[in-house]
Amino acid sequence: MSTPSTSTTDSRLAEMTAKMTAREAEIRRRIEELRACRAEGKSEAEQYTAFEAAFDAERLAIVEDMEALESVKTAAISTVEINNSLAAINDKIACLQRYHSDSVGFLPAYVSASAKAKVEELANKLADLRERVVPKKKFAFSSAASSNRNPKQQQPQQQPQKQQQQTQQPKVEPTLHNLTGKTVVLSDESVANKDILLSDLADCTIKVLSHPATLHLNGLTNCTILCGPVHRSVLIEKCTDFTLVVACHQLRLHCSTRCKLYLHVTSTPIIEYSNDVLIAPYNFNYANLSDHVTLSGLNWHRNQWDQVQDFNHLAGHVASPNWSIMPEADRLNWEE
Amino acid sequence: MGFYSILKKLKEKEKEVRILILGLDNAGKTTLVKKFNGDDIDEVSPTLGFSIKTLEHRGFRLNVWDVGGQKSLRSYWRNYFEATDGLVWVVDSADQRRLSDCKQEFGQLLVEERLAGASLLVFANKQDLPGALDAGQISAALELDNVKTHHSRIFGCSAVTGLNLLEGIDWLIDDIASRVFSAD
Amino acid sequence: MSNSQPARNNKPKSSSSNQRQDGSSLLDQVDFIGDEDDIDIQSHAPVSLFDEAIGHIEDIMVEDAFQELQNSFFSNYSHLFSESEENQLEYTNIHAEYVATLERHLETELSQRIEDFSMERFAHELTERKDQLEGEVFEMLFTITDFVAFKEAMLDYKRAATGEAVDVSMDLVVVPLTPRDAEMTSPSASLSLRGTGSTNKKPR
Repeated sequence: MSTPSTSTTDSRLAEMTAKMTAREAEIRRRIEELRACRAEGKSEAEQYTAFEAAFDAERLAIVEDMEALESVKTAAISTVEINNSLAAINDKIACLQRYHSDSVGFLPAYVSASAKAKVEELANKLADLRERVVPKKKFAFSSAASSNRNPKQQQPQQQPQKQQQQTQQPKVEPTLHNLTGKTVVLSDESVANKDILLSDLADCTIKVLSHPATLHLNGLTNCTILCGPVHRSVLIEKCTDFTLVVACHQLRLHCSTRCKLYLHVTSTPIIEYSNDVLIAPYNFNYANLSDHVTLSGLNWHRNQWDQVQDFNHLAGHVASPNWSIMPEADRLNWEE
Repeated sequence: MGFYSILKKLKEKEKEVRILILGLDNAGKTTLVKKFNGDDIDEVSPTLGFSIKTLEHRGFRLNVWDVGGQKSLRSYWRNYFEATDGLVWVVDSADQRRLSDCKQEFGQLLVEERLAGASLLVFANKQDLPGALDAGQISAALELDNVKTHHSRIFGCSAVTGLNLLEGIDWLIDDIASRVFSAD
Repeated sequence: MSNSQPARNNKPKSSSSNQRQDGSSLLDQVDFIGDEDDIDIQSHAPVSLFDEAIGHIEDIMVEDAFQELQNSFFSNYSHLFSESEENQLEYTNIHAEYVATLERHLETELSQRIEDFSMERFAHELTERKDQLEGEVFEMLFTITDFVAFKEAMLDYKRAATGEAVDVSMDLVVVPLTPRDAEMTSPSASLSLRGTGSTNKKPR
């Protein structure tokens, strides 16, 4: 049983990468060509001939990609690489499909139908290929967020876009897990625009002096979380005796009790299977707050902090006993 | 089956397509529908009930049913299965922690008799977030390759940027059209 | 009442089968006589259950009993409906009950008017003739099953009942301003008009 040398693998990969990049440029050129041709008011016949040519060239290129991937499959490249290649091919098929749907307007029915069938054929081929080249290993759910299950090495990648994405693994990156009695400050670039997951913390104070993309809290007990503006959503589950000060676009609280929430939220906050929830307006103040508000894109003039909807009290038209507005005298001031 | 439901089925022949959008809460279902429709997405609130949007797209009339995904709402999903042509399952690709919940709810839909004829589009949403798994990883997590009950396809997408929304919906319409309107 | 007759006559004529051609000419004669419920003549004519039932459905739907049934439903539930784009889950149950109630009513009425009437058989015939389901009666029936139309009707009723200003919606734009004429159109349009009347808001 011989494994190919690393250098062979690298050169093959480099070759594939170069090929794919070149083709990427080529297809862009073709699409531009076609667009130009349409703009110049050429006849419909000319347009769809051009479409067919570009479409078929790209289709053949995708078939080549698949053949190339199949020919190197024999344990020469990692699962990550295989998945990347499959994803890249998938993207190209999607691109081809879009190209087709963009062009439907001027294509004769039979050309359109045949192009559609060809896209489907490609998709099926890709599914078959995936079946053959991806090792039959089940996705593991356990400790998905915290474990270092990423077998990634620094290898060249096909697409810059993908590369950026792949290097984020393990995905929920700025994660605090299983801490007791700690005070942690997360600031600026390390968490800016990132997804933050805080899980299984007890007696901790966490300050996020930044503008994360999302914030997930899970299994917190007796904690205080102070956070700058979150671009998107905040999701809280199974937390007790905790204080959260946050600004965000959406907020959902599940299965939690004895919570104090100081909120700036641009849509209506919702709670479900939760009780003893006290709500107050956001009042966290730290040096870069206003910059972070701008960066987060949150509407600072719209705050629905007191428009809480309780999923366990929707139909009744009676006020939910599970939450209330925190009396002003009880509100604390939160500073950096 | 009542007389009205038969009538309803018969009338839904004229390039009218019923699409049901489901997924866990916070998956981005409403944002996705709004973005596709060109609406403002800045102030989308969590869905407490359901919304219906009728969109004209490529000569089809799409009746898009968007039902809230909170845990306490999921038992009501079945009230919306009837006569569904296309099921869109939306996944928050950045929420790995609940991926097992997601798979479980998804699995329950697959065995639903009243959804048996529906084309299945999976949107691995929130690809614009740094923590998002890609479509291949979501596909693996949901074991999409093992789905034999429906025509299915997965697209990585972002409801916020609009990435791949059109591609996904176009695939869905094509798939439905090839089954339902093939007589044309 | 006068609205329903031409529609009924058109129905069988559009058929291509000989049997139904005969049926339609007979029906024409029946209509000339001007008797709506002459079951004796119809029963020995080769009229299909489909044609017969459709004729009766048209009648049933414009009768007071049917309108009252709809109105009492609207008056019982319209307070639960709100103008917001998002719907509450309970709307779905209310709509399901509405459809079931009207269906029960139709079935009861049809059973009284047609000997040995069977909903299953009628439903079966409907599917057989799915290409012939054109015309007003089918539009009306279909509208009942359509949730969006149902919600609109509920809101129209609510606006009318509470005397709120009414949005300038499509149906209002085309309705003439004299209420007497409007009464001839669909029930929901006339309800809306009462709403506009009270607030004196003119369509554009």
